[in-house]
Amino acid sequence: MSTTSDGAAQRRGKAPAGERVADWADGRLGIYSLAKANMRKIFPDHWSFMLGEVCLYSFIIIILTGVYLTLFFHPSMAEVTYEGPYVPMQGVRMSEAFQSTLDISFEVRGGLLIRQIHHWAALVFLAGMFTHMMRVFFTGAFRKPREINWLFGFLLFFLGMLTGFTGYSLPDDLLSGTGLRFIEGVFLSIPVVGTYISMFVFGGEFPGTDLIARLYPVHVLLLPGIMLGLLVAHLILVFYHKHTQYPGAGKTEKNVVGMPLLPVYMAKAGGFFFLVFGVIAALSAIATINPIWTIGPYRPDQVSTGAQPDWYMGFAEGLVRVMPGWEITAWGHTLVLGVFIPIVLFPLVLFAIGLYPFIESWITGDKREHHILDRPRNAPTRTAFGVAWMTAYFVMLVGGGNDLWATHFHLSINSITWFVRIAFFVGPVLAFIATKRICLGLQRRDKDKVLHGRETGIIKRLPHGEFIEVHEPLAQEQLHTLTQHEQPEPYEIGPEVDENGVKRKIKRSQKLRSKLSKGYYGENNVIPKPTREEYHEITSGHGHH
Amino acid sequence: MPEGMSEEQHDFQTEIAKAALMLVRLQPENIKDKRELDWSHEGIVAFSKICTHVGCPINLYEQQTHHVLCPCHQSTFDLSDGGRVIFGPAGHALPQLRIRANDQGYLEAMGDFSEPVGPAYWERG
Ligand code: HEM
Ligand code: FES
Repeated sequence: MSTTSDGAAQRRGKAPAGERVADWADGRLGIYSLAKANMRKIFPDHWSFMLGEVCLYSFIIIILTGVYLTLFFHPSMAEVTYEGPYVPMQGVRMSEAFQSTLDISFEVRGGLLIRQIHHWAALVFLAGMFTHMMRVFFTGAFRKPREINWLFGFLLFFLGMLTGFTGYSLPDDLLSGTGLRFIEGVFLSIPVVGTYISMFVFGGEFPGTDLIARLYPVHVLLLPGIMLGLLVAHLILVFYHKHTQYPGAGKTEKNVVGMPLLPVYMAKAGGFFFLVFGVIAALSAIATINPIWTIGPYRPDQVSTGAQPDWYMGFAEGLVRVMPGWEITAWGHTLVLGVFIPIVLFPLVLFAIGLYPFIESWITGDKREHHILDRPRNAPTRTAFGVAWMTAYFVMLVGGGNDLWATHFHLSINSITWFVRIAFFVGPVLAFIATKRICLGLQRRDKDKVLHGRETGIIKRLPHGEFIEVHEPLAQEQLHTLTQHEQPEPYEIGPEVDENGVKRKIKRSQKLRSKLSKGYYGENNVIPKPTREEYHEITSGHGHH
Repeated sequence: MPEGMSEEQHDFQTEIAKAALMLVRLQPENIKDKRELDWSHEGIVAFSKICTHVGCPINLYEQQTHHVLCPCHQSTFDLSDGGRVIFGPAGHALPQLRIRANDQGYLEAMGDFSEPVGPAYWERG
């Protein structure tokens, strides 16, 4: 037996080294069947699908640069006197955390660039998540089976904000210390337990000497650890559900049309990683961010003007700035509504979008799977809600920078604040109405194009002198894209009395659901798409215009 | 700085976070609030520098109007009217410190603030 197998091996010669390594690994990890199943997995292509990739790559960049920073950063609030090479700070009292950040910036090789990349990547990461989330929202990609993955993504966005804020606080500079003082005020405003929470978190009175050392593990381990777990789960689910695709000829709920993972998609994605890294590195090399050496160390009795948090905190900042200073004092207690309401509103507004998929599926009662994306115009109410939400968000960003708006545009801070107070309520309503009308208008135009063709811009003179514009019928694929969407019927409660004339019990939630459902699918909220008969009637026989 | 306090002491940051003070000279006849006038010395008034919103140190004083503006969220206080809030998210007036001139002509505080400085909280009452 041994002779024959030896003989066979001899005849074929030894397998190449690579193959032997692969065989070795396959025997232990089963990589062949994994590769066979996944290497040719198909991914559809669209520019908007790269937004999620931007998030992934900037997260990787953050981790890599963050690890480098941990080698040199000292998370301590012990006071020292600076004696390093940066002359303007010599002799200034500061915490060790601040000093080590100065050292990273001026003495560690590549330290400043890495710090800058870390901070810029954090900004890009959050901007990426925001836009990615909006893409998923407006295309309806969050519908079954992807609701859980939407939640994972939303949590990543939320935790990303917290992680960014804790990182921003670590260097213990004048700006970040001011931000932490704000957090103290937020804790204090919580009814009943506020002072206890504040004392607990700061380890005594503000600022104390513990906080930076406490924030540190939260920033470098706890939050990134949770986020890494969520991110992996997010990607596994994308793989498992398969990617959604935009509607088009040949695309169905049962197939995926696109390019294989290997080699095409991997090559593109790999290249794109370096593109993202390159852009962030270039930004970091060109544009200073958080120059703590000009800001100075934190002292609770000092502050600078024009103080701004990182952009993703602007929404919370806006709420806090424009809220009137309501304080209710009764029975020896104070309810600090002026601070408490904004910090409750902040997560509430965010969670309104986070929980939207579940609300929509309750209203529409749609329990089917969806793998073909919606064109936003074909879901006017959802699109309008999304735009209204974004309007509220951006109005508050303006509120968060009200001082900068005032100084840059020579406006009164009081009128900007009043504008924001009103626009926060009125703006979303107007945006909702306008968006819905635009969506319906676009639906009408689609219908028109299907029935009467595309305007060619060619003017033709008929024998009897009349001028007409020549319309060109759409190609079959375009017709498909414009008419593939479904138009469900709104949810009906049914008759109020049953066949015996007895009044049926109708729950209040049913009534609400039916009302909302009409807002989605009822008359005036959809433009009925052209029917086959309409199309044939118009296109058959007589040349039309 | 309160007597006996120094930058070197270990709880300096925590102390200064409460004790920071603004001293402003007004014309006594411009002071609208009666108690403020009583607690001042020849038009010199002392107010807590810690904003009653969420505790930023306030630093933008406008001489003509006697208004101070907090750079964090733009609460505006009228220092000629008992430190009253006239705009922005702060919920109550700035606490005033009662001062006088001692025998040698130095200003000195006649005790601590009569109410807690800084942001409001549940037990403040
Ligand atoms: C997951 C998302 C993360 C975000 C959004 C984020 C964001 C930030 C931000 C905005 C800063 C302030 C930087 C500055 O001084 O301008 C910072 C500082 C810092 N981060 Fe992160 N970070 C993240 C993850 C990490 C990880 C995974 C580590 C370590 C393994 C890390 C380590 C550090 C350190 C040591 C500092 C302080 C050093 C310094 O400021 O120079 N970060 N982070
Ligand atoms: S801390 Fe002064 S206005 Fe907010």
